[in-house]
Amino acid sequence: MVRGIYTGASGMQAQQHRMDALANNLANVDVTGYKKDTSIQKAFPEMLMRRFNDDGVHRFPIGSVDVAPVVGKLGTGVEYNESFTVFTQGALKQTENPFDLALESEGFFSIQTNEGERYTRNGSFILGKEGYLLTKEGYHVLGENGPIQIKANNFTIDEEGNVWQNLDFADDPNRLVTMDENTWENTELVDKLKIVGFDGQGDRFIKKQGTSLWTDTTESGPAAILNDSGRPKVRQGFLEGSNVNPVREMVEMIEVNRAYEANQKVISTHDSLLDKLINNAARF
Amino acid sequence: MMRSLWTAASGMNAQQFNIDTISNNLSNVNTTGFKQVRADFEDLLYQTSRIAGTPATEETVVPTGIQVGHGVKVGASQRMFTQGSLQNTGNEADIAIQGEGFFRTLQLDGTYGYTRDGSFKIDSNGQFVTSNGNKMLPELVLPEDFIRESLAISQDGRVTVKIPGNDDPIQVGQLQIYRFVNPAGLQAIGDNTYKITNASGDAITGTPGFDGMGKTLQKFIENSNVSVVKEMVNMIVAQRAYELNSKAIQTSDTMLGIANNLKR
Repeated sequence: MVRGIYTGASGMQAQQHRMDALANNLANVDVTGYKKDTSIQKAFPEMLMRRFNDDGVHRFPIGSVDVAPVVGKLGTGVEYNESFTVFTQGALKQTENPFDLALESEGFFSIQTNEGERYTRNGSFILGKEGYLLTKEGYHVLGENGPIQIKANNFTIDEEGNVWQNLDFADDPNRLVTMDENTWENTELVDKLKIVGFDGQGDRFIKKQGTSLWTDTTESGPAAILNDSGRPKVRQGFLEGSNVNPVREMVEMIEVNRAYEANQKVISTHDSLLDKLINNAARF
Repeated sequence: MMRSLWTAASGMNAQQFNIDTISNNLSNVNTTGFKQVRADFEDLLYQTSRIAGTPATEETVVPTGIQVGHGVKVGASQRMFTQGSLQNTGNEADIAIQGEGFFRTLQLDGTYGYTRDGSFKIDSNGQFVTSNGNKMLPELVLPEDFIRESLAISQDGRVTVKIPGNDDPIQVGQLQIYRFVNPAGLQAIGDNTYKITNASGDAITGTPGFDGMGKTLQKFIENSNVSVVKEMVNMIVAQRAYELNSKAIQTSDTMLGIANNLKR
């Protein structure tokens, strides 16, 4: 049938994909460490239109071996190409909870899950009953030497991600500590938070897994521990909000809606043209 | 139907939970020893419609996949055990914990409960009980005909009273404070009381003021740690997020309407 109908339909479908991504961003507007997705479309390759039938006589334009003359180019619509995660920094909000950590600039916390190591920017952690730092799902938060074991009020995490503890109270697990009695005279480095990144454009290729976790892929390459200048600052007592900007999303939603409508108009126009052709032009 | 409808609906659901949590915090703003709860969210599963690395032609692979998220879910409702402000009541049986820890009470079903609500009462047997009549543990029984004004509780939990005809106060008991490795894992059962769960760890017993236990302050009660300002701000954020998601639903609906109008 007429190509334009399918072109219009591909446009409507593409806008629907965009809407799905937008709705997911808006649903996650309040999720700690969420990074927004944008959906990227690409045009189908344009094709050259040729005249089928030229009075039965082949004419060769100069320098061309084409059997029929070209009349022009035609695009045939759009396809959903990529969902792209935007890794800009989310706003930091203060919580005053020592187990809340936020990363300033690029990088991820490493989490030990049952399926292997995963990466997150959601630093809303919790202290398990054995004293390990855990995510809300109960996965261990990793330091460079394995899971991090600490005691409430007996630890502090500096901007570089070093976890310090007060050695005075560190040995007896049943001896809990209050903030007041800590003097920080006899401190010991427990571990350094394993903060990782991906080489080059690697961030672009890691995959969202849900529950704020990312996995590495073959394209992203394995995660590497970030050192020195490339290392994000760790903020204890802060959480990173999502980087969804409601204004942009709203505007984009209007745009999506209207583009969808325009594509629908394309289809209905084509349809009424066909109507004329079938019912009026060839009336016997 | 359109995925975005359900995605946005999950967002509205989450914000509704957020408001539920906030309104519970606000309604307990004057509850003795109440600890504020925070709703934490996480993104839901992703549907992968094209995996990164799929061959595109004989030589090339697609560099990035296509993933679409399915919205948001509540990850946890986390309780914040920060200190609430202390209020002087002048009542001899009121005890506040300054610092960390809980009082232990005996529940009606025989299990232990833990509370920071130190507005104790002295019942007809001279026993320290909570407002619901649950006994404080270790049991504290005051002698008959004690002089009420002379009831004194030290910072380390020693309870002394005077009885008529004797000038020296006598020690009648010693309060204990209980702490947990992960207090956020405690289960709230209402009546200002928490119960141990598998996540909280067992109670660690100690003397008030020693080994990291909070001090006991007589004639004080601990107010809730709910910050009204913070809750109001959270409420505004939650309301707007709810609104945003409803707009996403509206837009999806309009789009479906447009699609429906294709066929006349």
